[in-house]
Formats: sequence, structure tokens, C-alpha cells
Amino acid sequence: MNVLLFGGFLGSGKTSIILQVARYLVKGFSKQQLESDKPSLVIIENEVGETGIDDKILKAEGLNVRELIAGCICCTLNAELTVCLNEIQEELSPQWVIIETTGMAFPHTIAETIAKYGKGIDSLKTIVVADAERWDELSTIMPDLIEEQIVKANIILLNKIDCLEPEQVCGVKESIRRINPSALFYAISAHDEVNPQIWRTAVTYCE
Amino acid sequence: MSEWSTKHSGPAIFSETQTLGFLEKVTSEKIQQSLILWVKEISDWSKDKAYLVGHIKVFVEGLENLWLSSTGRSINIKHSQGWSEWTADMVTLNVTAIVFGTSKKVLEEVAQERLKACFNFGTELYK
Repeated sequence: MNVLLFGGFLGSGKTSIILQVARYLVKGFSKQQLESDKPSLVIIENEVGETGIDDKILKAEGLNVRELIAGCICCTLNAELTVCLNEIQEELSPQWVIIETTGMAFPHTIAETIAKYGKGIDSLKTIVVADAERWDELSTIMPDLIEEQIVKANIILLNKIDCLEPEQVCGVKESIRRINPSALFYAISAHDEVNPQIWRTAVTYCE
Repeated sequence: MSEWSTKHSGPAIFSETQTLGFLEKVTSEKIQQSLILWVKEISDWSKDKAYLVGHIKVFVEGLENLWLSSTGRSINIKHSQGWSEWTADMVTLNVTAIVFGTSKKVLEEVAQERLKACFNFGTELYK
């Protein structure tokens, strides 16, 4: 089971990106996988609030989604997430699991718990989405949260670059690179279809 | 704008599912415009008060679907293929607004009041 753990602040575009990654992964499934009763891709959605929205968007695309609604995953649902992941492994043993954390979560803390207590995990990679449009604002208002989300990411996707001038994108990239110089880095706009080569590289990197 | 400690002061969250019934069939365009107005009003209210929008999201469930999302700036609009031609006498709205700087009670009051105002055309609410 390969796990892609998505993090990033509220409104950064995690769900839009997950939709594109999910479509990319499903395209690569064999006929046998697609016709099987057991899905080869399962998405776990953790959302803040009483009403889930992202899970409904993903389900409307025909994707298999498990919901963990209530609270913030970094504070209260770490254990529940690991239990959910282990249940998925036992019941379905899918090739891929995508986890969307809440926008307030610290992905590396969740990744550490999963790595320690998760069963049957072949690979686990943390993908953090950064909001280019609000980078200056968010890194000024809540620098600790933003830095801690990014600092240990394996892959960083700087999203919404269509909202900035190219030189502004370079500035944000430099700022992110100072926090995490080793992650794979892509500047994208998930508003449009992202070059599948990026998903291919990310997925290969995760295998 | 000052620096907030997110470890000690979480955002206010308004998160609800509401079923709306209309006295006459309403076009998807009218529903979409009402919801865009609601998202704009919450964004403008947050801006006026110097609050920070985490995100505002809307998902309309029916035979067709509409998805709106915003961080208080532009509004991202996506919908199912047949949305534009659809008319409805009932829809289920899933709405979430996450705002830093205010209380849950105040956000809830503002969000509910604006939602009612945006759907002021022969609408009945079935929670």
C-alpha cells in the first residue's frame, strides 16, 4: 500500500490537486483493477466542522472516500486516522491511499504516527500544497504553522501561480526553499490541468 | 495584521447542511448567483472586520452538483456537466466558512442571516 499524505493551509487547493492526482492514478489501473470489487485507490478525508464538503466533491467523481470529520487531525484524530488506515489495509489492501489532512494539521506529525503504527505500508510520502497567492499574508500572520507544515515535506506543490507575476513566484520559491531545501518542488496552477509528468514524477518518487 | 498563535486560538467554524425547498422551480443560474453572493458577503464582512478567511466552501447536492471555494479573494467555480441546464424545486446545500479572528457565535449569526437574504425568493428551509 502506497500512501500519499497531503497537507497545506486552508484554501491552498489540496482537494483540487487530489482530484487530478486521483484521475492520474485511476488512468494507470489495469482493467482487472477497475472491475474489481475492491478499489485500488481509497481517499481518507479529514475535515474541520460538522459538514463534510471535500468528501462529497470526491465522491461525485466516483472515488472511494472514507471520512474523518470533526476536530483537527493534528490534535485529535491521529489515532483514528491510523485505525482507519489499518482497517483499509485489512479490508481492501488498495495499491494507493491518499490522505487529505485539515488545513491546520502538521503533516509530518501525522506521517510519523502512520510510519510507526500503520500496517502494510510500502511507501509514505508527504506532499504539502502552498498557496502562492496568500504566501506573503499567511507567512506573516502565522509563520510557525506555515513553516512547520512545509519543513519536512517530501514534495512541495506551490499552487495558484497564475495569481502572481513570474518574478513574484521566484520570490515565493526562494522563501520556501529556505524552509525546506531538499523537497521536490513544483510550481503549478491546479485551476487548469497540471502537466501529468509532474504527477508521474511524484508517484514514481513515492514508489 | 498581527501574528496569531494558531496553537491557542483556533478559527471560528460555520459548517452546516441545509435542504432548501422552492415554491417554484428555480434555475441553476439563480442558485449559483445566490451562493456567489453569499460567499462574497462573508468575504467582504471578514475583510471589513480585518479577519482572516481560512476558506469558504459550498457544495450543492442534487441531480447536478455545484462547488464554490474561496479564500476571501476570487471565487473558484466548478460544476457537473448538466448543471447549466438544470432547474430544481429542492437542493441540499453543504456550506463551510472558516474565519480567524471572530467567534463561532458571531460567524454563525452572520452566515445564517446572509444566507437567508441571498435566498429571498420563495424559499423554505428544511434542516
